[in-house]
Amino acid sequence: MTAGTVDRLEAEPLVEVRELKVHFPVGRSFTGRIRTVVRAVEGVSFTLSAGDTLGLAGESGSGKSTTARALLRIVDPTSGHVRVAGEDISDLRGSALKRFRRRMQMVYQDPFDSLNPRLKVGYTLSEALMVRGVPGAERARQVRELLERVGLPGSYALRYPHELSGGQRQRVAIARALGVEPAVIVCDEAVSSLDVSVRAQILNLLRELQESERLALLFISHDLSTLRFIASHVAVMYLGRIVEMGSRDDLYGRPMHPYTQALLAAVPEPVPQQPGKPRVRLKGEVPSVFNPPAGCPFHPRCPVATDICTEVEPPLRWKASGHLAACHLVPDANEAK
Amino acid sequence: MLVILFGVATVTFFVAYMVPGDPARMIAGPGATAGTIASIRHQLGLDEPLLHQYVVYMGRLLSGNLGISFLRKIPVSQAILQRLGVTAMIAVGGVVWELAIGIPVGIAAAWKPRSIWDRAGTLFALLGLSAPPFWLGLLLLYYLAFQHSFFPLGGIGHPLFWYLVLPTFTLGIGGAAWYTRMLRSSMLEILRSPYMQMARAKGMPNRILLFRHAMPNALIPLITMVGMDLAYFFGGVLIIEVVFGIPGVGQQAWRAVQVLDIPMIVGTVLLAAVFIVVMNVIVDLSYAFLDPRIRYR
Amino acid sequence: MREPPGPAVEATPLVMPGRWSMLLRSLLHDPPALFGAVVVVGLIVVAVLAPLLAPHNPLTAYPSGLSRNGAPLAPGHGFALGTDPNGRDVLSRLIYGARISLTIGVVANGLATLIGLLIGLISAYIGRWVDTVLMRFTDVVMAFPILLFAIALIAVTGPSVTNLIFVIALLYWTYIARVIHGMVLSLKEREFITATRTLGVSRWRIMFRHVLPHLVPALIVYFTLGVASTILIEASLSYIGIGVPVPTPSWGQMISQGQDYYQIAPWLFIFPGIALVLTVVAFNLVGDWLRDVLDPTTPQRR
Repeated sequence: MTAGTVDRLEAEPLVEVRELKVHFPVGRSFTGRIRTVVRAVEGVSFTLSAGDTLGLAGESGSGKSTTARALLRIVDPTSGHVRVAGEDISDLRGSALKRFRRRMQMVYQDPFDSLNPRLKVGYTLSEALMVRGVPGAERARQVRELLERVGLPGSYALRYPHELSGGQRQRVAIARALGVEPAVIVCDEAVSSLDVSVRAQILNLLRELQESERLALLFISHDLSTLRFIASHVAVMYLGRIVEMGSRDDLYGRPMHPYTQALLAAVPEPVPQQPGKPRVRLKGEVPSVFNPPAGCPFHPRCPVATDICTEVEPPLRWKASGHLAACHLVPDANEAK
Repeated sequence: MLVILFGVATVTFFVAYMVPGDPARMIAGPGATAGTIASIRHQLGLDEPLLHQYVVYMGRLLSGNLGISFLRKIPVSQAILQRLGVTAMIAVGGVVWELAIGIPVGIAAAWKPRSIWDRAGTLFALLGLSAPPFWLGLLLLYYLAFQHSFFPLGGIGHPLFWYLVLPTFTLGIGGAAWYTRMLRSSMLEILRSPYMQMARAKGMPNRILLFRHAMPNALIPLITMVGMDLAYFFGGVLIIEVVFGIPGVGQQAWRAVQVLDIPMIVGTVLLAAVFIVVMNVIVDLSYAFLDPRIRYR
Repeated sequence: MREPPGPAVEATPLVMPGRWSMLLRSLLHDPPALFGAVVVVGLIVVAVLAPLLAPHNPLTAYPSGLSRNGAPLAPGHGFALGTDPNGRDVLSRLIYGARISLTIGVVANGLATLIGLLIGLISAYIGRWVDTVLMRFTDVVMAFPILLFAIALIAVTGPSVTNLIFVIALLYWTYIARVIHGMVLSLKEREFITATRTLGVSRWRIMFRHVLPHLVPALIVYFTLGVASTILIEASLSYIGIGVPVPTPSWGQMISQGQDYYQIAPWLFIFPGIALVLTVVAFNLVGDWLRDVLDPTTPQRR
């Protein structure tokens, strides 16, 4: 067991990610040599089990979306391993890759563009069934069932995406993902472009489906309050690395990493829960991925950075039971898991 | 580019190879015996396998050998070079007309949108694009050379310039129409841009606006297109030469088609294609040179 | 309970009700386009009903069609637009010429569009070496000036209407291929394509069921504009003498014939030319209107 996996309630993890790195070459020089590399994901590890929801939090540029896309092989991992249901999928190709695709699906951020505007909703869904091998005669009926499962009337199969609202479109997107009967669903900012009132509906839908289908959910969001609602464990990412990971209560109740603390402090709360909680203000902006700072990537903005933070990158370590953080200033746990 | 040139040469080879009829017989002439024909065929290497012929062909090309014309019995390359001057003059003349008409009309149309200038200009562009050059040339010949002897009735003579007016004008009109449209739309775009509006708000006189600011930007893409136009003209020149009876490369190719003078046809096509490819590269390079935005690739 | 429909993401013309009446109204408000449409429709009618409309047989050389010294007749006296040097009726030949030119133009362009669509779509979507090879091939074909190369090809295959159609199609597909290639490249990046690929749907299904519908408006526009070009190409080839073989009438061919007699019988070349200009203008106008109406984002073509 590598350092960096959080203890889970279930025994057998469905998804295991180990030291995942995703680098993009950018800017070829005149001779064709690669000038720069964007280190979008720099060594991320976590596990995901059935019935579990892991939230991936972070601002834009943190690498959370890239991690998700690497998981689904939308982009290819540069190094590291991803195991789904015991099978290493990092190098899969061709028909093996196709078989794997059925196990993991994604719901995308943009409800407008993730559905083909020129195709009826019913057709989009029937394609998912086609992948599963459902015979033609059966498909119409199952499409209606899928729609009903996500809370839409079966007659919507005849509609085009532009005839539906944003929330309805996301329901269709979820239905499409469900159509292939995956074990894992990744939600990449799936509710971020929806109205707040609709958000709760969709999140509830996801929760119900997770229970009824025993799904594993990886939920990506920059919005911590959303994650608090839906996730059982949360990992916070910064500049391609996980800086803190723990159960929901641990993370929201006792945040250890200064970045997490700052993010939480910025979340507006109707009733301030902890009077006297330190107000952590972030300086500056997220640095460019082209030129990550030396040492701890967060140190230029960290209110409590010290000398060692500018030189040595802090490793992700156990700081308490079931709680990891990457910070020099947080004492390690006495017992390692 | 090299790949394309290679492809062009290969395609031309196959076209030449697939021509029906016996080139050896054509060269030998009507009264030749079977033996003569066979020996000519052997001389030309026509009894060798396909691959062999191909290699020989490519080798010959590299040394500039395009074969011998059946009709005129001289090397194709020589025949083309003889006539290249006339054709080049027509092509260049066409470009001159293109720009001389296209630019002013296009700018005038853009400067006063929806005015009589604009409508007339657009109509002109439409007609220029749609009128077949051979018909237009004939029409001009009829009215301006026959009914009223403003211009000679075709052919070449002295003063050369006089004989070239109608052919070059006919050739250039289509391009002029195209440039009118292009210039009009790109000028309109520039004139509407924020920095132009700013300059206008600052009270800059119209003339300076037009000539120092709007035009250079609109003209840059035009310059590169002129290069390509020149290259493609070598195809369109054929029609002009046929209409006006001008002894250029195009007319020679036309005669070659009528008698199935394969080396001439194929040689002309090949040369035209090579010219286009080369001009393409030159145009791309000059575009990168002229437009500072593209330079930092 | 029906929720109010969300804002239209992009025009989905084949879906919204009242689409046809909207099109018609747009056409009626655009005089040039209306003119073009009327001409195009008229042309089609003439082409289809040629046998009924032509006053004479276009191929027959009428003895009464020539003057006493064997010269062609000017317009009038039973031959509305005059006769040609063989005594054939110009008007009838013009009408049948419409049929020939239109047929060749439409069929050749249709074939060219099909080829260009397939090559552009497949090369752009599949990418990698297939893309490189196909696009290089497109570059090679584009390097040849159409007229010259058509001449060479027809010299090889012999002049006939079928050969003409194939030769034109085999040279003209490159423009559409380039346009489609560009469009598909950008469509590839759309999120619904990523989503469908992740779903595991086969790439052929994606190409033809997902990408192709987005290409249809551009295809319609380019097809219409392309007919104008292919008609001109056919006319040029017929003029040179390697197009439609005599005696089948084609406008280009009639102009070529008229050239020999233009000093004494100008009607021989003037009328077919007017027909050509009218036809090409009409198709261009309709094509431009279609472009404005169907997809304002289509790239402007040469």
